[in-house]
Amino acid sequence: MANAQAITGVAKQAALGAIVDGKTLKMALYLASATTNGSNTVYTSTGELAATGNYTAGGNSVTNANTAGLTGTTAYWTPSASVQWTSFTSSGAFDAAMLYSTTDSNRALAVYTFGSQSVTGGTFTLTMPTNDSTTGLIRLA
Amino acid sequence: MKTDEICTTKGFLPLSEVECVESVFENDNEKTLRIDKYLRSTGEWVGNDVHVTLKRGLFSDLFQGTMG
Repeated sequence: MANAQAITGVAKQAALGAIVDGKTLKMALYLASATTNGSNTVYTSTGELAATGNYTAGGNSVTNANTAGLTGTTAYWTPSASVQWTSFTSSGAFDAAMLYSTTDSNRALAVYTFGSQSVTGGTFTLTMPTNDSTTGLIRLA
Repeated sequence: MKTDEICTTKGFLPLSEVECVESVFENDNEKTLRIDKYLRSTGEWVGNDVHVTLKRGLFSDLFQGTMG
């Protein structure tokens, strides 16, 4: 068997763990007209839903009881609970959520998009995928 | 809010007064359940809930190319 160069799985796990393990995380919601993407370095209020209808600027806390896992050479992590807004009326149609770390000066970790939604007098729930190397919310392979 | 109440544009109402109509949208990345709420007495729309389930997160393939 020949040698094979690679970034090791444990290195990926450590890199991922450095930004999620034990961190205080939040998710903010963005209007469908906004332009959040992988270039965002920190949480931004630009394009965020207005702080009306029981939405608070900065979004909601993310339950983070999981630490970065490793299967094979793929590191993964997923929040340990859904994120939910109740008694909620969105200020407009929204289609994105930014995950960011308040522990690390609001460092932006990821932006997730979904079908454009509007909620009036109700609940919005973002349910997380299974926390594994195939579907986890953040995966480094 | 009581357990047998539901949030609407008219505040929290007894579940018995509200008809919930569900619709589901699904693709490879997400499954969305939308619940529209109507007053049983008049048929007036009184809000909606949305539940998005992410089927998979984001994947970053770290470059494993030749050493520069």
